[in-house]
Formats: sequence, C-alpha cells, structure tokens
Amino acid sequence: MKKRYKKFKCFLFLVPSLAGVSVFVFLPFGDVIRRSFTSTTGEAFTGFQNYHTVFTNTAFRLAAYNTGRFLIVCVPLLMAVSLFLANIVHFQKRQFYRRVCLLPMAVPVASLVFVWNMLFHRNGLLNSYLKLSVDWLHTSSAFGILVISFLWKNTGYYVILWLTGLEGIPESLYEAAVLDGAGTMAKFFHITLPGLKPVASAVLILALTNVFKVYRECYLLAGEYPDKSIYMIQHIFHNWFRDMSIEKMAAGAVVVVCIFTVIVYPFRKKGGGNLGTLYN
Amino acid sequence: MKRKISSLFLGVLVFFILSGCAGDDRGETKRENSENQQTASAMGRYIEEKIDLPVSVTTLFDLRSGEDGQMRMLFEDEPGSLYLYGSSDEGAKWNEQKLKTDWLPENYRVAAGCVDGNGNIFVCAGEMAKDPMARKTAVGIYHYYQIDKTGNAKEVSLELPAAKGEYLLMGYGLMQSALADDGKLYGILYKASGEGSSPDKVYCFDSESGKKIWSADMGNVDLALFDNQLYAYVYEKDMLKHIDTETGKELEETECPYDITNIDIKPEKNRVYYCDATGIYGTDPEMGIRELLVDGALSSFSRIGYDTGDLFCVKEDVFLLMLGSVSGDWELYRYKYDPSVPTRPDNELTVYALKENPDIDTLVSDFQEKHPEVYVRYEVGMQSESIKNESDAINALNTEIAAGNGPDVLVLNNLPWESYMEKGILADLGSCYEKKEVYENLFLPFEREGITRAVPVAFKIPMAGGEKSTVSNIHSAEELLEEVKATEETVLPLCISEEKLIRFMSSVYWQNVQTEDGSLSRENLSRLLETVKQIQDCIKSSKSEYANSFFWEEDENMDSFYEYFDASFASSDIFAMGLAYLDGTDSLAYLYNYNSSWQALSEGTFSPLLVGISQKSERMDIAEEFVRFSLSEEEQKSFDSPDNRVFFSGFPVNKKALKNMEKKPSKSDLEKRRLQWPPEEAFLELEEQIQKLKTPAMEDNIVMNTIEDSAKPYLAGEKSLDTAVNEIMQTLELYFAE
Repeated sequence: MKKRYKKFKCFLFLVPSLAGVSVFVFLPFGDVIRRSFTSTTGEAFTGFQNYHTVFTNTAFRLAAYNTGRFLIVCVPLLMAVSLFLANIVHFQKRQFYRRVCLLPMAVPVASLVFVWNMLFHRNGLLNSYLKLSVDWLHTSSAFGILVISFLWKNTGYYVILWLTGLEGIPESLYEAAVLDGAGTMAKFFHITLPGLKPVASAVLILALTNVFKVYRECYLLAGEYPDKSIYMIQHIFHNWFRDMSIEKMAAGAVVVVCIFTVIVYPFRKKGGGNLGTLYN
Repeated sequence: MKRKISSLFLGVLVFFILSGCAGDDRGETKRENSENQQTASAMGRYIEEKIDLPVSVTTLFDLRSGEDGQMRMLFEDEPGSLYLYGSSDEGAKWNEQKLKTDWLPENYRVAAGCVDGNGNIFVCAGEMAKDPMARKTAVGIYHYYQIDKTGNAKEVSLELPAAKGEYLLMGYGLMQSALADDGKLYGILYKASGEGSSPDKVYCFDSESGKKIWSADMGNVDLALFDNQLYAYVYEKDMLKHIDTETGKELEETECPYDITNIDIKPEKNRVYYCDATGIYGTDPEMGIRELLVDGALSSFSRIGYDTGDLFCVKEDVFLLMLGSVSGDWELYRYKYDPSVPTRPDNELTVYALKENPDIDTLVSDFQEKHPEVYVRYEVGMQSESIKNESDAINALNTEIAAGNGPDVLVLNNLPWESYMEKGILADLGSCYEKKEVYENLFLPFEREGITRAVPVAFKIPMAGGEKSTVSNIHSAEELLEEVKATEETVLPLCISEEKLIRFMSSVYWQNVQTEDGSLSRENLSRLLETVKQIQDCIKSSKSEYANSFFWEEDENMDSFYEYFDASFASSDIFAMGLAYLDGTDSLAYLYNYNSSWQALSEGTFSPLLVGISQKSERMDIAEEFVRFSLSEEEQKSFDSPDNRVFFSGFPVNKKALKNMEKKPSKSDLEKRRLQWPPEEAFLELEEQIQKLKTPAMEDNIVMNTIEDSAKPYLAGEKSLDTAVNEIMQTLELYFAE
C-alpha cells in the first residue's frame, strides 16, 4: 500500500509536464497518425494508400536519401571532430577554445546565410579569388557547403557535451593506466571511450535531431527548390503543405518518426547512466 | 511531518491542475454569453437610400441647410443650366424650386454658385469657350449675379483687381464661392497661368454691393462654410484652418488628411464628420478619437468606380453624400440611422484573392449591392503586414483552410488550384451555371472526373497585335522570331518589357514544353529559351532612338490577370508589334481604330480569372450564389458596358453577355470615346477564336518564377543555355514529382 502510494505520488509530480507534452506533442501526433490513413479533408479512410504514395514518390525518396546521406556523413564527422577537440581542450588544457567554441552557435542563421551567399555566390568572393564562375550553391557542391556549415556551427556545442563527460572520468584511472604503461591511444580506447558511453548516447541523439535543423540554412540559402543534392525531407514537407497534401505529410511524418525511433532506440537501451557498468 | 508537507504540496498542485481543466465550461459559457450580449446589443445601422432626381447632377455648386429646416441644393446638369432643389424632410424628397435663368447671358454658363440658409443665391458666370477641345469651360472675365429668394436677379460688380489679357484665356473670376447668412460672400480668385488657371487670393465681399471687405493670401486652398463659419483646407500641409470671417485672419488650424468636400463640421456641436472609402466617421475637432458611423463596406461609396464627393450631416442620424461615378454624374445618397436593423448582416461571406485584383473588387461590390443582407469581406492575402511573399501567403491560407476557418470563395489565380481540386478542397460548382449559356470549352479544362470545381469568370486571349501583314504570319514562337527579325532597324520590334517577355512566352507556349503525360521536354524548353533570347537580342540591337527610353512599371502585388491592354502602341511608329492579352471588345475596337490586327498566339491558349468555393465553407449557399452571380448574364454584361463604372479586364464567359458586348454602342458614346466600331467580321473572327480555346495558359507561380530566375542570367549572357535548362528541368521535375 505504501509502495503504491509512493508510485502514485511520483506519478502525480509528472502530471503537469505530461499534460503539457500530451497536449502539444502526443495528441497532435496522434492526429497526424490518424490523418495518415485518411484523405486530405480527413473524411475518407484510405488505408495504407498514403504510405504507398509516399514510398513511391520520387521526390520523397530523393529527400529521404539526401537526409539520410547528410545524417550518415555529418553525425559521425560531428561526433569525431567534436570529440577530438574536446580531448585537446581537456588534456592539453586549451581553455581559450572552451570559451569561444559556442560563438558560432550564437550567430543568427540569417546572418550566416548572408555570409555563405557572399562567399559562394556566382559573383561571390570565392569565385572572384579562384577566377571561376560556378554557382556553388546551385550545384552538387551545395551538399559539401552545407556539411561544412553544419559542422562549423554545431561542433562547439558538442565539444562542451564531451567535455562534461570527460570531466566525469576519474583522473585516478588515467594515472593507474600510466603506471601500467598505457600509451595515449590505449588510454583513449580503454578509458576515455568507455567512460564517455553515457554521454555518447545523449550526444548522438542530439546530433541526430540537430541534423534536421539544417533545413533552416538550406531554405534560406536556396529556397523551396534547392539543388537536388540538398533537397531534404523538410523541403518536401514544406512544399506538400503549400499544395495542401496533408495526408502525404502525415504519412511522411509517421515514416520519419518510425525511422528515427529505430535508429535512436538501441542507443537509449545500451546507454545506461551509470559509470559502474564499466566494470560489469 | 515531511509526509504531511508533501501531501499538502501535492494537494495544492492537484487543485491548481483541476481548476485549470474545469475552467473550460465556464469559459465557453462566458464566451457564449459575451457573444449573445454582442449579438443582442449589435443593433442599429445607417441604411442607404439612393435619391433619384429628375435631372442629372453634373456639377454640384452648393448644398446648404437653413434655420428654417429647408435644405437647398444648387447644381447644373449641362453647361448653361442652373437648378435649385429643396427638401423639407431631411433630404428624403427633393422638389425643384423654379429658377428663372433669363439673367444668364446667351452662351454663358455658371462657373461657381452658392446659396445661403435663407435661399439667396450668388452665381459667377462666364462665357463658354468656343474651342470644342475646351469642353465649354467658362472663359473671359466672369460676371456675378445675386438672386434673392423670390427669384429676382441682379448683376453685381465685385471689387476685384483688373484682369490682364493673359488671365482671360482660361477664365478670370471668383471660384469656390460661399454665401453666408449675413450676406458675406467668400471666394477664391482664379486666373489663368501657364496652361491652366491657378488660385490667387481669398476674398470676402458684401454680396449686395460687391464691396471688398478683406482679402488674404492663403496659397492653394479650398474653401467651405460650415454653419456660417469659414474654413480653408491647405493641400500642401493637409491642414484645415478656421478663418475669422471679419478679418480673414487664421484663428486655428487642425491637421486633416481629408479633402474639405469630404468633411462636414458642426462647430456648435463640436463635431467633425468626414468620409472616405471605408465609411463615414464622426470625430472631435482635433480629429483624435473617431467613431465609425456608416460602414463603407455596406454602402455604395466603398464600391469600386465611385468617388466620394460632398458630405453633409443633416443631423447626427442623417447624412447626405454625393457620389461621383465614372460616367461623370453625381448621385445623391442618404443615410438614415435605423435602430431596429442589425449593425452588420448576420450572413457573412469571405472572398479571398492572393493578389489585389480590381476585377474581383468589382464583382464583390456588385454582389454586395445586390445582396445587402450579406456582409461580404474581401481579403487579399499579400496585403497582410506579416506576409513577406506568396509562399507565406499560401501557407497562411492553407493553415486557415486546414483549421476549418478558411474563406468561402477563393480566387484561384496564383494559388495551387490543381492541387486543391485533386484534394477535394474545392466544392462542386456544377449547379452554379448552365452549360449552354457559357462557352463550355473554357470550362472543360477545369473538369475532373466529370466534376467542375473551378470556373472561369472571365478570360483573355494572348495575342500579337500590329499590322495585319506582320501578325497574321505568327502561329508559333519561331514565327514570332522571324517577324521580329524582319522589323526595320529604326523601329522597336516589340512593345513588351524584358522581364515580361520570358514570362509571357513561357506562359503562352508552355503546352509545347510540358507534354500531356506531364513530363517536360528538354528540347522544347531549350528551343523556347533560345527563341526568347534571340527576340531579346533583336530588341536590344534595335537602332530605334527609343530603345532605352521606356520605363516599364510593374506592380508585384497586383494580380497579373488585371493588367489591361493598351492598344496605343499599335498606332505609334515606335513599335512594330505588341505582345499582350486581348481582354475585351473595346480593345478589339481600339486595334481596329489604329488600323491594326491581332493574331492569337499558341492557338487554343487562354488566361482565365478562376474562382472556386471551399468545400468546408459554412455558407455554401451564399458562396454558390456569389459564383452564380459572377457568371450571370446580367453581371457579365456589365464587364464592358458603355456606362460601366470601371474597366473590367477580360471577356465574359457568358455567350449572351459577349454578344451584348459586340453590339455597336450609341453614336454619342462612340463620339465620347472617339471610337469607330469594328465590322461584324471582326467579331465573327473573335468568336471563332474563342471556340478554339481549350488550354489555360501556364500561370503557376512556381513554374514561372523558376523559369524567370534561371532564364534571366542566360538572357543576360551570364549563363549558358544548358546550365539554365538544367536548372529549370531539375527544379520543375522535382516540383511535378511532388
């Protein structure tokens, strides 16, 4: 009885947040799932027709491919680069970078886009320096520019996250390793990486969600119909909304959420939260 | 203890949550009550009544009310006439008060006139100009006549400066006169300067003797008497000055953005009334807080084609307003407050257009006039302050539609109407028209699976206009290019701006680029762009002295359907041809008058003004009535009638309405418009072309903007053809694949 009361009490503390999340996230998503099985007006039940339409839609496939490609390229790069920089900052005590690493995040997206335009436009600085006339933003090079932009803007934030994890690893472990004759790489693979496992899952999930935010730069740089290489999922959602293809949007959103869940779930399960797992 | 504290905290938390949830019902009830209260209290409206006079009012001289309760109106219907009408029932009925005009010399007309509260009249008259171009304007030195309330007239000599010779060309004398009850006459002396006449000083005279009491230099002003108080409106500063009637000195001034004719001041009641297209307002003399008294949306003066003229407040619940129509006559309207009528009609209809379109303005205002029981709200998406571009406006519209709050009637130009049709956003309009009454071929392209969800209300035909020997050979873009190349060097080949050329050509010849199965032909697109480039190069290389001197002004916020056709290019030696849309029989007549011919480009293509009804409209019956009304013979006949209030851009889709449009106007109307009417063969040819129309021109903004954005650098030589075509193909393939 006491135990049940305790659980109930805990649950009650969750109620306000749960209510908010339910009203603003779960219920609308429930409606999206419902709409994914109906026509645009929501009156006729269409079964899996919308899913079929979405999966056979070449534009959606292109957008999904590009988003997946961007994910596969950017997330490992982001994690690797930020981990590398975090190690330098932590072990070599480069505190100056720690202070300035978040500055790129503070730059407004619109200003950033303005600068990219100045650099990469047909009549921009890069072309005038290289004496070329390439419209970088409207060719397949746009993908590379977007990757660079994403890494430049977000690396600092993940450096901070990694640093948090690094500071949680006891110094005594490294000292013990040194005494046992472990080198830098051995310490990295056998102490640092395992010690960062709890943080790694959080970093990965954040990186995955942040990848989707690159749409802002994309849209401001290249509009509703950018070069094929940077035509993302959000572009097609935006354009489907303009055409009132609500049912396709709903089906597409459900598909994206499912894929995202499949990618993220294994990492949540294995992440744990206790450094003690290192020794199990 | 700890348990007690945490239990207490929990209880408080639960209490707050529950109270927040429980608030809904009471909130709804409050809302309902509030709405009921609003509905209950929202009664009373000024009812409009048009006052028909047996004589038309072409020039209104004065409108006054006297202490005896009589209202008097002084006006003319044609040059040389003078009428005085009186009303003793607050302007509801008017009777002529016979005026003898034998005192007016032959061939003279009244240039200015005024009446005081007692019925005395003062008139300034001048000889009518003999030059027919001068339209009988009063010229020379004016003569002045005082007519007392019994009708006896005597000539008065006003103490004005002597006129110099050059002043007499356009007339020299007192204008904008006003007669106070104490016999003082106020007016502005006008004298010719340059090509017109300009105001000199403001004068005050004794109307009996003509002696000058004072004069004052006030600049470019308009005068008016309100309750025997003199006011002057200064145009350059938008200021209203109260003038001392004894000395002519300024007493005070108020900022006033309204024309003095649109104002009525009641100094004793400390009220100012003014009107604009949105309504008649009452305010304080400082023009601070204003109160809407007569809603323009429910009245004639907000309708397109009307100009507000003199406003007169008979009393707080009765107004008189002169409205000027395009025909040039003034119409008298009376507004009387009726407390038993709802403030706003219960039925409301929302009509939405993405961009401003005066043709839709006309339809909306005509519908409102015929259906006073319906309040029609006309929304223009791009006019909202928060909207930056078309995409934003469409997203905002779609959000409203998805939420069930969308407009009832949609003007589908510039909207993704094909998608709306496919998705079932638009309602079936089959019951809104009779197939045999309209050109069915214009409706077929908008039919899907036997259901018509969008209908054209008007249409235009893309054409090339110019000499028959030139334009009759044009049946394709390549043939157009050949004719352009064959143009003499000293003449500009085409009357169209560079920006418009690519859009126009892409729109008209799009059916060559996109095949029936929806795929795009790279080859045809390349050929089209190449052709446009060559045409443009020919225009640029023209040795015409006018090559760089034309400035093409375009309004991005205006629906391109509204752009009207100017046939004057056909008569000039500057251009060989023009590319435009043929949009009415008048345009055809003007081409004929300029000895020009026209040739439909890309046979079968037309540009429609498209409307649809939202499937989720809660006022489906009223929305259908609006569409029915727009397609009705009666309304469609008004598109291009001689006494039309505005110029409607587009042919009617109703067959009888078009036949009516083809009828030769009256001789006087043709003289007025300086037109010769084309022969019947010209209209037979027109109808033949109309029967062949079957393909709407490409007017999807995504497609047009994509082509324009990628083609411009190519046309300017900054990009290769292949690059431009690749960009266009990539974007449009994506767009159509979505």
